[in-house]
This record gives sequence, C-alpha cells and structure tokens, in this order.
Amino acid sequence: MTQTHTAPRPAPHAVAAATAERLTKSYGSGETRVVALDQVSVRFEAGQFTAIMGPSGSGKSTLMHCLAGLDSATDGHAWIGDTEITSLSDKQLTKLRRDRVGFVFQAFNLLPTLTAAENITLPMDIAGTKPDTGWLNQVIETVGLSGRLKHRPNQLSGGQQQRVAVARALASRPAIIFGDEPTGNLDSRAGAEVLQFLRNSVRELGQTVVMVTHDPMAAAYADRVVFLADGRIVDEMADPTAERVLDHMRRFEAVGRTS
Amino acid sequence: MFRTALRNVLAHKAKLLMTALAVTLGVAFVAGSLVFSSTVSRAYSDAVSSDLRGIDLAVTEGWDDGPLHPDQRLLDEIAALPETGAVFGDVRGNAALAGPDGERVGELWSSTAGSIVEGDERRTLVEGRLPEGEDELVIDSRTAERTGFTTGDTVTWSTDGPGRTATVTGVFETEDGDVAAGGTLLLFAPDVAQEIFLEPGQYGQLNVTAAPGVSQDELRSAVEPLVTDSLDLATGTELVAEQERSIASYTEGLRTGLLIFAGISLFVGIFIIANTFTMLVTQRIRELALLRAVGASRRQVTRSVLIESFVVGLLAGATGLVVGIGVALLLRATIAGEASGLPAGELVVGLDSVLVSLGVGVVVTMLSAWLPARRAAKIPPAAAVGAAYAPATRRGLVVRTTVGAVLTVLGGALALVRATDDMSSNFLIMTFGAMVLLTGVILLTPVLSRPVIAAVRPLLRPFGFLGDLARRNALRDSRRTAATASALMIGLTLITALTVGAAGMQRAMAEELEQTVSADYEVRMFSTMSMSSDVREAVAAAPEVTASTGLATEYVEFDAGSAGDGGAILHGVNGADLPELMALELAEGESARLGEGEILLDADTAAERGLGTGDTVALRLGEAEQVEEFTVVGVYEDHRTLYGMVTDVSVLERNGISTEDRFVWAMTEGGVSPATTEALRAAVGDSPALSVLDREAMIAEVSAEADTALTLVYALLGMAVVIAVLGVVNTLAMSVMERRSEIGMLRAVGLDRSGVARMVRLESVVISLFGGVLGIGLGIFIGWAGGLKLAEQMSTYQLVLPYERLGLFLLLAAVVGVVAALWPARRAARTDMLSAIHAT
Ligand SMILES: Nc1ncnc2c1ncn2[C@@H]1O[C@H](COP(=O)(O)OP(=O)(O)O)[C@@H](O)[C@H]1O
Ligand SMILES: [Mg+2]
Repeated sequence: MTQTHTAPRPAPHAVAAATAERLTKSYGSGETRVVALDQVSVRFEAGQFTAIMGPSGSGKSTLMHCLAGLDSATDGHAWIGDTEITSLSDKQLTKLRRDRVGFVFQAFNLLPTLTAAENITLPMDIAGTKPDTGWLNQVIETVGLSGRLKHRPNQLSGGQQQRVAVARALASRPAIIFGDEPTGNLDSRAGAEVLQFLRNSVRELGQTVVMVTHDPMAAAYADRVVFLADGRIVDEMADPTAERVLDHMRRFEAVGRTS
Repeated sequence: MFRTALRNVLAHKAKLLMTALAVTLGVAFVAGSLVFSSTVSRAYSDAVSSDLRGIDLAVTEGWDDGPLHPDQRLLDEIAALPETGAVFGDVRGNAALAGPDGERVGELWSSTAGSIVEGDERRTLVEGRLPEGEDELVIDSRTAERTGFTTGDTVTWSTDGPGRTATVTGVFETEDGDVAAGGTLLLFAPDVAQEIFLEPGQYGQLNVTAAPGVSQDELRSAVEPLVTDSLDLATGTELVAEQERSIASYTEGLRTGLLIFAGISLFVGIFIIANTFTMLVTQRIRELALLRAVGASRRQVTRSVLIESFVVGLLAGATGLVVGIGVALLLRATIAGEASGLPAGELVVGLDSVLVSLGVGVVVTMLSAWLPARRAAKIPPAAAVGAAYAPATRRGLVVRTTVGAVLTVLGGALALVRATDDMSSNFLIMTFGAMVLLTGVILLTPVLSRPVIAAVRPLLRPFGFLGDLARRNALRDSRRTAATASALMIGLTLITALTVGAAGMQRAMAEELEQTVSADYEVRMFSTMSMSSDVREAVAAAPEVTASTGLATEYVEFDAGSAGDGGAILHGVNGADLPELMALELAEGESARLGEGEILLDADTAAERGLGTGDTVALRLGEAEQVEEFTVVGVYEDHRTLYGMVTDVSVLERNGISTEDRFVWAMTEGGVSPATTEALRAAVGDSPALSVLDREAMIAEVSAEADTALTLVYALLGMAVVIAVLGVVNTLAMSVMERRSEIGMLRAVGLDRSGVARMVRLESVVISLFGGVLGIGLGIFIGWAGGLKLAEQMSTYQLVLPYERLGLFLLLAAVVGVVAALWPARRAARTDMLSAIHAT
C-alpha cells in the first residue's frame, strides 16, 4: 500500500482535518482501466460535518478509503491533518488509522466476542493505551448507551450497534471520523438516532466527521455536502436540507442523461 | 444430485483440502501397514521356500520323555533305500559371532549355526573350503560382507557359554530365512556341530531328496517304517506349508499392531471430517434451504451431502493408497534388512490392500459426514429467504453433555475398579474403562472448553489484548473448538498414559533390582535364554571375583508323603555365597547361606504346604528319581528373580540334572571398575552372546527395553498427532475465512498485519493447549489407574510423573498450535481490508 516516491510535502495551506490534492485512483490498465477518482482536490475542515454524495459508482467510497488510509491512491496527495498519508508505509498507515482516524462502516462494525464497552475501547486496547475516562464517559453519555455497556452486539438492536460503532470511532478522540453509509443498514428511526448523534459529536464535542451517503435525508444532517460524479467533484452545498439535496440530485441526473 | 455434489466438491476444494489430507494420511497409514506386512510376509515365504527347495522329506526331532533326535544309523538306513536320492543331516542351533569391534553381529535370536557337507544345494561355497576340525567354520556371504571377514581370518564366536575362537575357512551363499532377516549363520563340520549342539552321531533334522521318478509320498511311505513313532516326518510340501503358516502368524501380528495405530489415526481424522462438513453445511444453509424450497426432499439433501463426502473419501482414499505404497517402500528401504531382522523383497500390493484402503477412506469419510448431513436435511426451506436459523441447538448440547458425563464417570469407575483377582482381566476392564472415559471426555469437551481455556489464561497474559481476543475467538464455537482439540487430545492421552505407565514401571523395576540384587556384576544372555554351566565356572574362577553364583531353575517333584503331592520350582545356586549376592528378605530363619542338605523355601510354597524352618523336605531328583532330604533353614518373601525353593547347585549336578543359568552374579575385589568389567569379559572369553553388566548397566538394561518400546509407540502415535495438526489448520483456515469482515474491520481500526497473524496464532495455541491439557490430564489419570493394577503385582510400584516429559508434551501442544497457524495466520494477515469490509 505504499508508493509515491516523492518526499512528504507539507499541507498546502492552513491545516484542514483532511485534504486531497489531485487525488487519482484507477483500477486495471489499458482497455479495462477504470478511473474511480480523477484528480480530486478537496478539503475537510476541522469541526465540520461533511457528507459525500453521488450516484452509485461515482467514487465516494474510493475517495473515503484513500483519504482514510485504507487504500492507496494511484496519483496525487492526501493529508490527515499535516501528515501526508500518500507517502506512508502500511505499518505507519495502520498506526495512523489507530490513533488519528475513526471509522463507522455500513456493516460488520463490532466484534461479536466483545461487550459494547470493550468494542468502544477496541482501538485503544489494540494500541495498548489507556482511554481518557472523562472523555469516554462523555462519549457514552452522548450516545445514550450507559445501560447497555455489558451487552454483546447480538443483544443490541442495529441502531444500538451502530451507536456503539460511533462511540468507538470517537473514543480515541481522532482527528477525523469517516463513515461509509453508516445508516445504510438501519431503518429510518434508528438511522436518525445515529445521524443525530454524529451531528452532536461535531457540535458538542468538536469532532470532525466525513460521511458517505446516498440518502438526502442523511445528508441534511451535515454542514456541507460534496457531490461526486464519475470520480470528480462536481458541486458542493453548504447547510443542506433534504429538499435542496434531492432537488440537486434530480437536476444532476437529468444533466447526466443528456450529456 | 451426483453432479451437484461433484460440483460442490470442486467449488469447495480449498475448504475440503485439509479433510482430504486427513483421510489421505489415515488411509496411507492403513495402506502402508497392509502393503508393508504383505511385502515382509512374501519376502519371508520366498526366503523359506527357496531354503526348503530340493527337500522332499524331512525327519525332524521329536519328544519322548525328553528330546529325541534322528541319528547317524537312521541316516545310513535312509541313504540305502532305493527311493532315496540323497540325504543330508542337519544340525541347527543358536551361536553368536563377534564382529571386528568385539560386539555381536546382528540380533541374538537370528544368530544361528549348523552343519555343512559337500553337495548340500542350500549352501553353496563361493570361497575357500569346507570346515573340518572344531576350530574351523564357514560364514554366510552377507555376514562376510558386513563384517569384512574373509577366508583365513580368526573370529570369536559362542553359543550359550564362554567365547571361542575359530578360523574362517570359507564363505557360502544361502537363502536361509534367518540370514535374509539380517541374522548370521555359522557352519561347522557335522561332527563338530553335533558336539556343540547335540551328542555325537545325532542330527536335528534329516533332509531327504527323492530318487528320480519317486514322489514325495512314495518316499515318505518308504522311509516311515524305518523311523520310530516319536520322530516327526514331513514332506517338502508340508514343510513349506507349515513355514508359511508360522510366517503368516508372525506377520499377522505385525499387521495387527500397525493397523491398531492406523485405526487411531483414522479415529482422529473423523473429528476433522465431521468438523469440515459441519462448517460446510453451516456456510451453505441458504443454498441447501433453496434446494428444499424448490422441492428437494430431506433425503435428497442428506444424500447430496453424503455423495459429496463419498467423492472426497474416494479421492482421498485413492491418494492415501498411493502415499501408503510410498510409505511401505520407504519402510522397506529403512527398516527391513539387516538392522531390524525383517527381510526385504519385492513390494506386494494385493487387491485386498487396495480395496481395504479405498473402502476405509470412503466409509470413514461418509460416517463422519453422516451427522452434518442429517443436520443439513433439517434446515427449513424458510432459511433460504434469510430467516434466522441456528443449526446447533442448545438441547443437543445438553444431551451430549449428559451422555458425556455419564460415560466419563462410568469409564473412570471401570478404570479404577478391582473387579476380579485376575491381573489380565483386570487390565482388560481397565483398558475398556479408559476407552469409555475417553469417549465421555470427548463428548464433554464443548462444556469443558470454557473452564479449561480459562485455566490457560495466565499463559496468555503476556500477549495482552490480542491474547484476550484469541481466547474469546477460541471459545466462540465451542463444538468446533472441542472437535479440534479432541483430535489432539486422543493422541496425547495415549502418549501420556503410556509414558506415565512406563516411567512408574521402570522406576519400580530399578527399585526392585536395587533392593533384591546386591551383586556388583551380572552376566546374562538375551532375555530369557540360559547359559551353560561353563559361564558360572569361568566367572567363579576369575581372580577378581570374591563371591559368585549362577541361577539354575528346575522343576522337581516332592517325594510322596513328605510335603504333599506334585512338584515345585527348585533353584540351584552357590549356597555358600548367596547372602553376598542376593538381598533375600527372610520371613523365617537367620541366614540365606546354604550348607549341605539345607534348603530355603519361597513364601508361597511354605504356605501352600505348611512348611517352616526346621521341617524336612524330600525331593525326587534326576532321571534316577533319587530321593534326597533337606532341612528347611528359612523362608523368603516375594523376590524379583527367585520364585521357588533354593538349594546348592551341587545337588542338581550330582543327580545328573544339566544346569543352565539365567543369570550369573558376582562380587568383585574393589567393586565395579572398567578394569574389572574388562577382566570379567575376558574371563568369559569375550563371548559375543553374553552381556557383562555392572550395577548401573543392570538398571539401565531394565529401562532400555521399555524405552525402545516407548519410542516405537511415540513414532506410531505421531501420525495421530500430525492428523490432529491438520485439524487445527483446518479449523483455523475456516474460521479465518468466516471472520474475514471482522478481520478487515480490525485492520481498519488499527491492528497491523503482524497483529492479525499473532491473534490467529494465539487462538491456535489456545485450542492446541486445550487439547494438550485435556490429553495430558486424562493420560495421567489412565497411567495412574493402570499403575494401581501394577502395584498389586509389584510392591515397589509407585506413580512416577516424569515432569520433564509431560512438560515437553505440553510444549509440543503449544508448538502444534504455532505450526498449525503458520498458513492460516498468513492468510488472515493478507486479508484484503476493503473487500472484507464491504462483503455483506
Ligand atoms: N477493487 C476494484 N477494482 C476495480 N474497480 C473498482 C474497484 N473498486 C471500485 N471500483 C470501481 O471504481 C468506481 C468507483 O467505485 P466506488 O468508490 O465504490 O463507488 P461508490 O462508493 O460511489 O458507489 C466504480 O466504477 C467501481 O466499479
Ligand atoms: Mg460505495
């Protein structure tokens, strides 16, 4: 997962939580070459809740993976804070993810053998560090899981499980939290709970969250929406509402069809 | 259905690999055992029949109130018959040859000697000339090649007495069975051989060939009237048949022994097969439910799984057969031949071996897949549309645990109970109990996994959080972990039980020797063979020896009226020196020193016949049944080597009873030293048939045989452990595959590749240690239970726990874990994070 032969470059300007500069990712070669990300440049400011939207196959997951150090880019640069991750080794990336990045996935977020509390502290247990108890309590409080800490994942509802996952992502107080369709598997009420909580963590705890979604209702919880199409950023919107996002998507689909 | 099954096998070939390998190894063991034993059997038959080639009729020794031999007169009479072509007198006995290093060449039991005359087709001289006087002999060509001896060399040889020297006058070729089996054959002139083994003019066997046109039966009818009823007659055909029978019974034993261990390996394999099919069925719930939903009956589902197992069993069986033939080839190359006394010959792959191997592969695989197949049939069609379905029911576990607990208690009780007074049936009951116990514990392993794995927790502490994750993963599917650990447990239980039993036994035997023999030196022959009286005389005459005795053993009858009817064992010793050499615990009497007309009684005889110190015993001795009276001067308690009445050996000698000693013991000036050992060896003429053992060597000798046997058993049980390792590999690989998403998530939240590998490795070690702890624990129990039975027979028996060995076994279990995890851990570390996260 390592490449980029140039020396690490400093982040271009005032430090954002995550930055991409002409980030490119392609799969395969020759005839079968698929460009999933095409020279994407984007900044995610600290203390913001950003949603990434776009049609299926537009490169949302790829962008998130490359920004979060889960996958390596083919070209371009990416930073978490002021660390250029496109030049890190697999080992360094692992450490970076552990210490500075939080994740919430669509599914398979929790280890079934661990209790909710143990799942929350998982990254710190892996690192062998002690969690900050004050912060941890605050996180648990906010997610509303106090009564469920000793439960195992199979004793929790889908929404509760996902809240545990969010708490885990927050527990180590990471520089940024990435979510790839975190509400994709949840019914609308449970999804709303999780989104509410993600927003609270930004508003009240000062966290930074980047979330991939294709649901306008979900995007409406964010401070800003970035639209992707065919591996490029095509638009963005501040303070979105569900109607505006939906409207925007309809327009794009129409443009896409005519182009 | 068959096509579906075949396609399934192909689709899951990676998952079925370990299963197939386990079956393959088990079948290879079976096939190897069968092929190897038929190869040995054929090689023996070939050797024997070519050695018997040309013999039409044999007159062999018989018994009539003593051994009876064909003699020179009979030979001459047979030679004079018109039906006779030629007749050769054969003399045969055991004699050992010393190699250039002074040590015996080959094993004592296949060290043989006989006579040679001109014209005997079975022994063709290829070098030199026939031997003549008593200090000349010829040796077989294999021995010549092995030792480097050639015509003109002087060699040391001996029968059951002191060593003698002779000149090699020639070398002959032979297809003699003992030589083929790695033994030696020394041939002397007939009169010399008669002198050595029989009386002048006597033969062990007359080999007759028929005149041209005379059949074996005609020859027999012609010879029969000349021969007394007590001698045995056999035609060449009968001789071959008889030899083949005895070879068959010998190789039968070899085969049975090997097959028992092959069976254990297969039994271990069952767990792996069952585990695999259970996992496959679980993974395919949707698929199988879909089959049911579209109208397949339960029987069809069961059958599809069974057909799949049939295909796997057949393929693995066929591979196993090929591997087994390879193993037999390897065995033939390494074991057979000079070192072990098994002849080497052409490889024999019988149709029966082929069918049995394939059959075993198929039957074992299908039997093991039976339960998973039944479970597959129970999958409701609704599971196809995603309805949650938990195949392993709790009720099933309750039943299993209950049965397991009952069997465990029952087996444990059977292993401990003292049901009869008979030692060997007690042992049988104990063995049966141990088997029931083992079965019970196997059934209990799922519920035992929690407490036992909790017990090994401290060992995992140094590995911190990963150790904890590994432990929990191991506990996740208790049945799977249990089956995996059981496979390892079985091998380790047997290994431990035998080790514990042997350790106690060895200690007890050494202790007994320590307590009952006080001599500095022991001179003896291989196992139960006795030595000529020359040996005790030679030892007594050595200047270093201050006290010595032989131990002759004879069965004698009581004179009517003196102490009841019947007879008893009478030992002949050097009565004057006995107390210095033997530690006899006297229940009655002052001293074990025996003068003229004095006798010691063993406690049993004394009790049985109501005799005590001061009583008189009258015995009828020798052919003349001369009655002699003895005064009882003491009664001794149970002893390791003495088990009858004891008197001075001169009593036996003067009544014409030939005395042979099983042991000769000696005290020496200044005790044990290398120089004294050398001197004693020289005193017995450096005889290659005799061992001169100092105290330490005596004790070592006691352990040596048990050690050899134990090593062999370790090697044979090793296969069961290897198969168990495959089981661990299998389980881990499956678990890693099932937990792909989880591993991907762990990687995403910051566990590095080596951490993932370590987690899998630790889980493997946990499972292996679980099996190891259970196996070693159970083995100790069974070893202890067996020891209780032994203790009834051997007062010196005590439970000995060879901690070093047991620790080594536990370490072995841990190593098994590490080795088994090599491949699965690498696979896990390589898990593609992204696809793992997104796989739903
Ligand atoms: N491992 C891969 N190999 C080849 N093509 C891939 C791979 N992963 C993603 N792609 C392609 O890259 C493009 C972007 O994919 P992705 O980022 O998953 O889209 P989104 O998350 O927006 O649905 C798609 O065209 C997809 O087919
Ligand atoms: Mg996606």
